[in-house]
Amino acid sequence: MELFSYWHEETFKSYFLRSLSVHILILLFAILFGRILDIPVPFFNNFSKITAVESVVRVDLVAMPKMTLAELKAVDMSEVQFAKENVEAQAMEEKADVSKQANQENPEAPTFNQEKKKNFENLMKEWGKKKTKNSNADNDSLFNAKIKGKLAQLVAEGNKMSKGSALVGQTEGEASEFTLYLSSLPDRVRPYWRLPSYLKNQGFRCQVKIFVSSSGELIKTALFMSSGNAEYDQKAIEAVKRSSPFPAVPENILDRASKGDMVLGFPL
Amino acid sequence: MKIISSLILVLFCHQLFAQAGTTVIAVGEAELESEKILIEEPFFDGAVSPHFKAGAQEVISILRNDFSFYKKKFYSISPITLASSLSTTPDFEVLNKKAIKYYLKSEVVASSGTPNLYVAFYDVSSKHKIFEGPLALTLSQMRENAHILADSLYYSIFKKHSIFIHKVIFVSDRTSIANNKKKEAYIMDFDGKGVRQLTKHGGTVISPDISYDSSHLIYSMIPEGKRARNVDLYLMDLKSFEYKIVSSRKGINSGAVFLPDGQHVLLTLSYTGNAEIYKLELGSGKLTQITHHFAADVDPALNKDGTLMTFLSDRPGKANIYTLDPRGVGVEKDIKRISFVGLFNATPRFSPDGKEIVFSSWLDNRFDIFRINSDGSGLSRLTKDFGSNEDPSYSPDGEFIVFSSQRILSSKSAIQDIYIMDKDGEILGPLTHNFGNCTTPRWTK
Repeated sequence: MELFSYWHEETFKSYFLRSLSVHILILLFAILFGRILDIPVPFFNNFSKITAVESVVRVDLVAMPKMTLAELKAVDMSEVQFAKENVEAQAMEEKADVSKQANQENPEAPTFNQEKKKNFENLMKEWGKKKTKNSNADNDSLFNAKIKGKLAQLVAEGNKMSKGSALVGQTEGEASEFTLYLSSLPDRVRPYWRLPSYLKNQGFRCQVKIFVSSSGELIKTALFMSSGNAEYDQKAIEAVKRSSPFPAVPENILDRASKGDMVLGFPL
Repeated sequence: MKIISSLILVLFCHQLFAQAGTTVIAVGEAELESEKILIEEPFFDGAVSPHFKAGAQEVISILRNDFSFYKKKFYSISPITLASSLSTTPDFEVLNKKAIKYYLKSEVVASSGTPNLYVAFYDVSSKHKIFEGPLALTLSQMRENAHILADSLYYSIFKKHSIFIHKVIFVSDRTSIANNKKKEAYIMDFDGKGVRQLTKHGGTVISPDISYDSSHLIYSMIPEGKRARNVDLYLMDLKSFEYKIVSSRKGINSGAVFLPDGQHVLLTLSYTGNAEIYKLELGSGKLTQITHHFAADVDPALNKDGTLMTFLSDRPGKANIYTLDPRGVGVEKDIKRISFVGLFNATPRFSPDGKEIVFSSWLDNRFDIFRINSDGSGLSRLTKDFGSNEDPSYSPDGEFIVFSSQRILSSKSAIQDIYIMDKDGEILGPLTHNFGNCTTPRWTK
């Protein structure tokens, strides 16, 4: 490397070493500071700082319930989520098409003279705006018709736990998407989570760590926290295994999903 | 040196506060897994006479039927092995392979008098015999003994009693002749069998209740005849069937429910011009007023130990459900409003532990049954598209609700029957059939 040819010069060496030691000191201070202030630091993966996700929202009752308990159990929230994502994806595509069109037309604008350019540009902008507005309205009505109606019905019905999405810690796109994916898992596991009467209501609690591949396949499970009762732990692990495969893991959270950041609590 | 320096450079490039952290999400409480139970055919040792054989087989089929009510806890499977004597220990390996959790064997030994059916009940996974005992095959008490046995088996597993030994009282108009409407009180086993008539007044019996020791029945009755009729309160001794009027005040004397001591009842009286709930001492006739409000307060119901009362009150403008502690003196102790929605709420009844209230409410041109927690939270609907459903009543173990359901047969006729469902609204089936219009069911306690 070129850098090291300078190594023989004394000044360079001394400044480099000084800079190095200052940087090391900064690093050490940052780590120390981080520990004191409880900021997650990569080298010291502190397993005691576990964030719990709460994704249950209670809906206030405003009228007598229309749906019976049995009917509510049969409604699959994941269906609604999937359908919603579909509609959103469609909306995204349509938006992209429209903006593409607008861009294609704009390059022509610079070839005109100033006045005409302005007018043409403005015109184009207006047209572009209108188009996007309409598409938005279309998407909205699409969304309304299919999903909002269903969701609104559920919410108005009251007495249904509907999924919220909690933003945990950092508010980057990654964290919320991770939480969203994680929140979809209990609904898939719950139908298989069954206990015989002698294990119920005993206050047992266990937590199972899961490792999921990009296709949603369960790579492995690990008992993160035992309940103290082997059979209880076994039932929980069985429920997880039987409920796989899970939905495909989005690329940007694949790292966390495959290295076991997701833990399912039975019951919490 | 080069390697060290390059490593150090890589170090500094690394994001200091990268994302990390295990995240836990709650799956929630588990559903109950139902266990496989195998009740084998009885083994006959020696020459057992045919009618005792039939009796033994009937006991076994009653056991199977009883356990089938607890659908979420058990499912019964057909016998897979030949009946064998009790002296042979069960093959636990085979049973385990089939995932059978509970196993019952029985045997009748021929004898000169009434033989006994000996049963042995096993917990397969622990290989323990958790119950054994004889059951006398006295034909006249067959059903009763079988239910007692079923309850003992249930108790050996769950350490609490089931509904098998309980009965349901109700009112039916099957003794009516043409336009002459008569309603009498009846009692039947929890499974709808063994119906017996209790009252024979020829009038209209309403809102019966049975005492905690099942020794007395309290009910209101409108006597037959066209003269001015009062709704009087009657008390009947269920051994002698002797009855007497315990309250005949002007207006209504109805909706009486027993307190655990058997000496007091809570009921609605309107002799002051306003319907209020009172505590009546059956022996002396002494009255203590429980509700104190100018609006109508009716239809009391109690939790198992008599410490909480729920009732219907008009005080907010339309009929809504309230609870209070009936032991208050001169004041309405701990009064609390429970329902805030519903066009017309009726017949609120407590679960035995007092944690839930089941009631009927008018919705979509009929009544349906709803359940709410005693703190007012968790309102849920239990019945829908099943006729008009009223008068719900919780079983003593809190797992089942009986209610009356009206089906429209034609523009002029409808029929009401008593149905049983589990506490989450899964209807098991009717208890009465072809028995007139059956209403206001209540469990024995």
